[in-house]
Amino acid sequence: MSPLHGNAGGTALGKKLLATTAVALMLGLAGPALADGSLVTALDMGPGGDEDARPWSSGAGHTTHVKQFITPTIFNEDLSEIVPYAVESWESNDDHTVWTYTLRDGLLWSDGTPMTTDDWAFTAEFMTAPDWGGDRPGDRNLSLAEVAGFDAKTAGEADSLEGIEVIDDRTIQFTLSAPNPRHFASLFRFYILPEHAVDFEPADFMTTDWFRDPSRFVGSGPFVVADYAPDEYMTLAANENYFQGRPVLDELVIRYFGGDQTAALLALEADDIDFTYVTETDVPSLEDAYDIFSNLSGVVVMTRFNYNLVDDAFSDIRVRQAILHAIDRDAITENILGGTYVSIPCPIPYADLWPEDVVTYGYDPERATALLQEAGVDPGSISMEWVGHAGYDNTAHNSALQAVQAYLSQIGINDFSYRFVDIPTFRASYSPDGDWLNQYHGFGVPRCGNDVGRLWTNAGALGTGVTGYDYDADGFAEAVAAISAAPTIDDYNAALGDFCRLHAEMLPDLQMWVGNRFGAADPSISNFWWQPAPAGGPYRDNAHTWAVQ
Amino acid sequence: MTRYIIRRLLLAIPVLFMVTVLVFALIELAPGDVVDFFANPEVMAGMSEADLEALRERLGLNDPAPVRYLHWLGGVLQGDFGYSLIRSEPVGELLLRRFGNSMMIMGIGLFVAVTFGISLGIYTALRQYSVADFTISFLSFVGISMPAFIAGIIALYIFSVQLGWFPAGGMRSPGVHTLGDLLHHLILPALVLSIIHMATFMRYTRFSMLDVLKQEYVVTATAKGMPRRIVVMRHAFRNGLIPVVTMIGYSIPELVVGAVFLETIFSFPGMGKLYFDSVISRDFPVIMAANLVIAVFVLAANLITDVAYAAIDPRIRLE
Repeated sequence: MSPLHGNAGGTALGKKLLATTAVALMLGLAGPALADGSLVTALDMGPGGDEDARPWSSGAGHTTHVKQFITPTIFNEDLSEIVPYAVESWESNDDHTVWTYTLRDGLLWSDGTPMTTDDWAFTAEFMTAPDWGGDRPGDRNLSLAEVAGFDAKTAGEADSLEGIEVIDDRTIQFTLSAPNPRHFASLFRFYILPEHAVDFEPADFMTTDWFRDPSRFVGSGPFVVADYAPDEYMTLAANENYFQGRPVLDELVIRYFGGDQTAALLALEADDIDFTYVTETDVPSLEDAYDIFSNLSGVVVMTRFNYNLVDDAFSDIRVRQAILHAIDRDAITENILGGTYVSIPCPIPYADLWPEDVVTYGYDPERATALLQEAGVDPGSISMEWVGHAGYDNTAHNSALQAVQAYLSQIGINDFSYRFVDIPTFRASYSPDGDWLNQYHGFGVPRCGNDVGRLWTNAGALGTGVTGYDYDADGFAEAVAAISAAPTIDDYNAALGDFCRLHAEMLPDLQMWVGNRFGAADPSISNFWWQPAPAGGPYRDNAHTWAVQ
Repeated sequence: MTRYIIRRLLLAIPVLFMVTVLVFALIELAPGDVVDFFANPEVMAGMSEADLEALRERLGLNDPAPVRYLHWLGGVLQGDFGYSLIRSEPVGELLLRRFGNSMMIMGIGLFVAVTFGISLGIYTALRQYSVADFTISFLSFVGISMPAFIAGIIALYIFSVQLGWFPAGGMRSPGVHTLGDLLHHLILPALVLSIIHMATFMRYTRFSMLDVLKQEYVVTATAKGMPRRIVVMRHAFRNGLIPVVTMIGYSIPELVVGAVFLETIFSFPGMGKLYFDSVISRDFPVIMAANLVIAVFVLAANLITDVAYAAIDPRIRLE
């Protein structure tokens, strides 16, 4: 035993530190609570979330944006159709090139100023300014690119947008550069801005604080900005002038978690927040204590081929068919993806739209082997590398692809690998100049607001230029055109069904599965409504009726 | 001493310059850029390749790499770190806010780690092979072995979800701007951060003290009948502290790294999380500035460590 054993004087210091910590704890525990009518959420968690709180230039975030601004049209509650929101009606000419919209009567901005079609036209001009500083023009293109004069205005060759005409305070006319029987479906992300309150230039769109500054912000949705702490939270207060009535909630707080779902889930379980997006693996442990909101994501997960670079064998449709037959997608969705996914025959994820005669390529390894023999392809010579982006780098998809690997090895395809990379890396490789072989990714296909032409036409942004496949030669151009030309929702759905049949027949890529997405809410919230929005929404969630007990 | 400090400060200038060149080169080598991050990878989000090219042109990303680097460097020399391409706010303001937040966690974490780590190191050294020594040593191995994010999740689950003592992440309650609320949010992540480093400091202090306690001058002091407290604190501890000071200096970069995971799991808006997000989004003005700040921070910590040697050990002369 050491002669120096015994108390060396550290005890007193330790006691002082413990006392200091205890005082700090007591100070912290005395933190004040929010007002009774407050709902604290993580509405921007999960796919569709955007902590930038800036409409018109975001990849998603419409769940939040629609709380602050109204749009001319919007998805209905079950996402089956685009319905009027700020407008009360619309009509078009016979060839669907001129559309006239009528705003609801009595619309007010949050500061009490009447909303008119001048605000609508102002927003259109503002967003098409040649020096507009937004970093994501996707929503602008969706809302305005088909309006006559768009190219000239954005290029600085015209002073105003030729195709927009204000008829009176409540009536506005859109002239399109090409017919569109469902133009109203292009306006569900058209966040109308207040002409009288916007005090910044288009070039300053990304640098202005206007959207988050309570002293300057003027909105039209059920809530307005009341407080904002960068990277922490945004507090929205009830808009007294919302056209559907003052919201029941006094405050709607949106907490930011930097995209970390585990952090948000822990905050939910600690009662710090009342709602968050959760993954399918979280649901079993939450469903007894929380209200689970769930719906089909509408995002089909597929594997695409780069026909410019992959083995010539893949140009033979029998090889592609063999691969699908070799993989038991039903078993993977049921047992590995937790029953929250279903396998799909085509890029249309809604089973009620699938034609009865669509080819489904069920699990049949013997058929797979036979198809390879018919094609004269040695399975040992086939090489595949499926590359996905970080959005799919989770346990479920890793396990699913390991299963794919095992299934393929059963028919002799042993050179199969997969990996996940960050989004810039994915995008850089998945481009016309990229060196990718196979991409494993998703694609949002809402019931309306069609976008399939981006992938399955030669001219699409990710069409032939990226994959090297001649979609037009196989009839895809006509199928996509039929969807775009459908005058009614029934015609539109039928056209989607026809597209589904064609895709399954030609199989330019391999459709794997589509999943559900989930949200968990504290049962104390009433009238709450959330669902995975198709490509981020927005949809009618009647947030003005939400309440906390 | 003053000349030494000035010389070290002057030497830091080329080091910092090389750091910026190296980091810029690494960003250039990484596939993709911030515009690739903007575009939804799956559908391009309604954007075309022409839109992306126009955006690259507007952001100056089409300029040759040396031009972009010199443009950035010129701005920095005038105190302008540029704009974050993702967050659309001046990088200087962004870093100031985030660095300040991180310093709160790191400051408290380091203070607790040093205080308790050294105290426990002395305590166990004085009770070598006792039950307390084995127990604390075992716990220190657990602390050293446990990744920061695992420790964070466990702490959140126990103290926030189960016991409800602390908020489950965040820096403050919405709308609340009090010191008490801030401390309430800071304590748990800071303690988790401290535990990992506390274990390291404890082990180093214990080893160092055990070594010093065997030295003849300590035995002599004890034999002279000096009070044990004086022997330990004045003769043994001061000499035993030298390697521990080195360890504290080296741990500062590790604190920054540890903060990345902790800030993520505690949804705490600090420098580590900012840095991580900037890298995966290729937000090069933030990556460059953040690296510069971290490099300055590390160089300053090393300098302070060296100066501290001289303060602790009169035999060391800084020339």
